[in-house]
Amino acid sequence: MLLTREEQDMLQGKYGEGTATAMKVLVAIGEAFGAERMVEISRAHVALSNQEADLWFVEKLVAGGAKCRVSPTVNPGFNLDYFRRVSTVAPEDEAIIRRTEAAYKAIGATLTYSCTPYLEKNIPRFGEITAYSESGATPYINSVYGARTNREAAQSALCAAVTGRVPLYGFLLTENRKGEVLVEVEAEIRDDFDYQLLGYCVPRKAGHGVPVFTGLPSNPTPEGLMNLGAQLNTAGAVPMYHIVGVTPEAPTLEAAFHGEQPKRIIKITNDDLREVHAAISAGGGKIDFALFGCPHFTIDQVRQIAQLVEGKKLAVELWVCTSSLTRDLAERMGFLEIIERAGGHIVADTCIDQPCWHHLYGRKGVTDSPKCAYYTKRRNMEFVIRSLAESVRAALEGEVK
Amino acid sequence: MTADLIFKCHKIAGGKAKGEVLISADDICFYLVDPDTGKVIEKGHALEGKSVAGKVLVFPSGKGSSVVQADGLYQLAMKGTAPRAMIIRYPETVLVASAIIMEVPLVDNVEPGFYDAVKDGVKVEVDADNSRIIVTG
Repeated sequence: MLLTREEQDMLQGKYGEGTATAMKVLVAIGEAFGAERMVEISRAHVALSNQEADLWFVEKLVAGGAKCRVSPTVNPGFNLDYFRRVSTVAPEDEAIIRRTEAAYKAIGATLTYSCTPYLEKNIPRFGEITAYSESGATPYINSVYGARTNREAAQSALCAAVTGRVPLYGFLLTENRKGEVLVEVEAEIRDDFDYQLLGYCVPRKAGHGVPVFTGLPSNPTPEGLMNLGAQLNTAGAVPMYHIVGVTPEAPTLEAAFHGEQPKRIIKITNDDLREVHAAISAGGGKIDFALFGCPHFTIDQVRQIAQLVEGKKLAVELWVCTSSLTRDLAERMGFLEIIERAGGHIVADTCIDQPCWHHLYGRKGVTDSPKCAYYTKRRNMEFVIRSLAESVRAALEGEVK
Repeated sequence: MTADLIFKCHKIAGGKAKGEVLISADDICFYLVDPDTGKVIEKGHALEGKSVAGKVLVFPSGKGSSVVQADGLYQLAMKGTAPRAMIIRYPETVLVASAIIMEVPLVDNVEPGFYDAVKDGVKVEVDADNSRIIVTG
């Protein structure tokens, strides 16, 4: 790769070992993808995970004196204070979250602890060159905003934040942003939950390549688009999609495909959505808890829950994960009090895939998110997947009917 | 005795490793692999119940979270149940970055004949540094 003098200096250690390691990783990625040069970024988001590899790598960079040139927002770990208050936190889990926070602070990250930076605090403009990790974030940045990011790993995004650079390849280049697979949606997409199923269903049927959707409503909600991207990029590796007439790089079908023909055309029917739903959800019956916020809930989703539980008592634990900003807003608007009175929790800065949920291991819950059900398999949690309203009703009754 | 078959490929993450081939028709997320056994625990996956430990893993691409792919591979490496090398068709950044950082040899763009020449259990050497794969038996 052709590097500028400044980039060579970074690589050769003028700015310390940590920055040199970050540049080495980016050069290796650039060479793997045939990038000719680096390009500067103006935004980044690091999918902090508070897991061993995450901590190992950020501490390695910090030990080498690395500081972010572009301060990235970061994903949630878990809210230590909250879980110490309402549950018990194992000493080793407390130790790792404290180390994670210290390391990200030291490297110069902006500690937002939210997986929806694209809705709060880190919103790019059209065409901006960025580095977003977090599988739910990448498709939103590329597709909904028309900003440009590759499907960064947490670690490659951190390297980008440290150096202020990414290799120029992939979705940063106009020619690679063209649609490849036409997805004709014949299924009825009535609510935000249908986008979850649609997103989860498409990668298996469509195979590799940027999907272009037709047949979707012309005015989707941010939550619908958030769900679509998060599930596409969970069930597969889909960092970008187009919706004809909705997303900015797809004003027409022709524009979405850059004037070329689709490589494949697939149809998604109501039966497809029903099939994928049946395949990924546990069967109904008694449940022990409800867990929401994968991705982090918006204020509108919190409002929906508050409306459903107002004046009632939940039969089982109900948890909503969201950002600190949204939780504050929920408190101001009275939603927090309504949900807490019903026996539920709104917890900020916390991900569903963290070691703070020990008390739910081996138990069965309900959620509106296939992504939530997918990643918690490692924690031996089982999920019935239903729409938000049905899930909340199940939490009130203790049973999915 | 037949001569070893050699196929050209493109290096992504450097290194050299030998092992038995295990082929997956499905993309892989290493977080859904049990670190203690190396067995794939993802329901309905082509490799569900099979172990990737010590294998040269041949699969289309990575998938899933930008976070846990690296953590999955890291935990496998710590427990000695990681694949020795990986051969893919569609490189995507999350898997590429994870392999580079965890130093698991990774190649793509293999000569097409390779896919006809190997099946599960065949022994190969992935020499990523020299961009070649040697089928040894």
